Amino acid sequence: MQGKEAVVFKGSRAGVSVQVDPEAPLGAVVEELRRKLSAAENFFQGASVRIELGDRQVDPVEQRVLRELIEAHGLTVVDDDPAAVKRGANGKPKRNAPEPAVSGIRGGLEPPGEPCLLVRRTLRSGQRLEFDGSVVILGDVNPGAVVVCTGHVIVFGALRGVVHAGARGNTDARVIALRLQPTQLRIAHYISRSPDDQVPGPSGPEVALVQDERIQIEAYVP
Amino acid sequence: MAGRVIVITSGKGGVGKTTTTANLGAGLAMLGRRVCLVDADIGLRNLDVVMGLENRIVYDLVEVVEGHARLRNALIKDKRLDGLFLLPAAQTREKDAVTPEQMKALCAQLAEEFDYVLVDSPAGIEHGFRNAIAGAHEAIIVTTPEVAAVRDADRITGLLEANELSNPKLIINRIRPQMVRRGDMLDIDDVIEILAIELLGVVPDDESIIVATNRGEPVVLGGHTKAAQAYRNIVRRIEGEEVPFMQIEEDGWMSRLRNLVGLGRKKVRGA
Repeated sequence: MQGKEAVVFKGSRAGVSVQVDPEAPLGAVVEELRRKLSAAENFFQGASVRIELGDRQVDPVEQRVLRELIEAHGLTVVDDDPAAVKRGANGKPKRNAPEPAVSGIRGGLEPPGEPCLLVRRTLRSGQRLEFDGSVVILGDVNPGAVVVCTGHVIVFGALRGVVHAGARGNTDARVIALRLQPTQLRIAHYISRSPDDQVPGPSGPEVALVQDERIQIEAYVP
Repeated sequence: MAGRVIVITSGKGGVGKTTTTANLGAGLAMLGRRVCLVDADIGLRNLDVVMGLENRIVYDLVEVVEGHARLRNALIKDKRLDGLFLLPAAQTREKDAVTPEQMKALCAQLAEEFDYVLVDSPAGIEHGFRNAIAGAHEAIIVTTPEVAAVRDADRITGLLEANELSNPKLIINRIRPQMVRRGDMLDIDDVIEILAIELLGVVPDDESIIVATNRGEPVVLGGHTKAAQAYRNIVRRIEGEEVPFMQIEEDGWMSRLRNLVGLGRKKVRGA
């Protein structure tokens, strides 16, 4: 799905895990890890993560570097001992490499779709979420919270903060919310703000999209 | 001539720094001055909300000092008054994203363009406070007639003097004449006696301020309330005018009667 990324963050019930590409050079791993951690500073704050190294041969120094980098960003590392990753006879880790639930249509094909982050909490004032892809939030986005992503933003709740969709210039990006009352909306390079006088909006879900060179809002019809 | 950079500070939280900043800024702009309000409360910004300008923020103070945005692009023009601008704080960053040196340079740059630069300080005496006072030439301390607030104001006065901001001026906020009359609230003379700094004005506690703040409209724009009058008087004193302190106490028949029979408690001096 994401090609040749040296570091991939995966979330599961057990928490966040960092999957490191076994082939990537340490330099690339460290650099990408640092970039991704800083981009989502507030988001990961306080989370505990497991480092998954797969088949990678790790020396203690390398391991410490990764651990310290992650901890410097306010995360806790758990269970990153390579010995804890059980390996099969062929050296492949047995754990942490589950069979994909969907193996594409009739096998072989990549599943259709694009990168998406599912956030199951409310974003509060001062929290900033950045993501390379689309974002689905099962919760509210409160005033003072910011969501910036390169794809679409879907809020299953009230959107009252600031959202920037299509941040790299994708004017087809859309913002959908059950209650669309943002402080400010940005799609690609377009900006619109809420009216100064409180006008009660419709109660149903709405979608914001770029039409005729400006951001327009209409009722969301599935 | 460069403009005046005035920091509005208090030590204690919740005494009305932000409301005061908004009203003094609006009041000065009503007199035709060019005013820039700077929200130095990084991470807990409020001034934009009180001014009703939150939905116009594109860039913030931190992005300006980091060089990611130009100052003129970050300044938000007020929707009601021509000469009034706001430089908003960042909400998703922390106080240490800015250094006192950067604030000093920023304030100096703003002072070239504006007659007044009003810096809204965060509560506390830590990094954020030091940032807020770094570029200021003058200070206004806001306090309420409560022992804890006055204690903090005293602490702040000392810190300001240590940072070469001597002669801070005092605004006593949220005074309630009835409570003072009953002796349930520190009165103005008590506060002045402790702090021994020059009184710039007294703002009566007024429900209209809460309403106005929630609407994003500085009360001074509204007109006829006592609080609005108090802010207008303070603004004229900042401008150097001699404005007599107004009488806050209502001349009700009870107080007249009490005065008549010599039972009148301490007179409440006004804004």
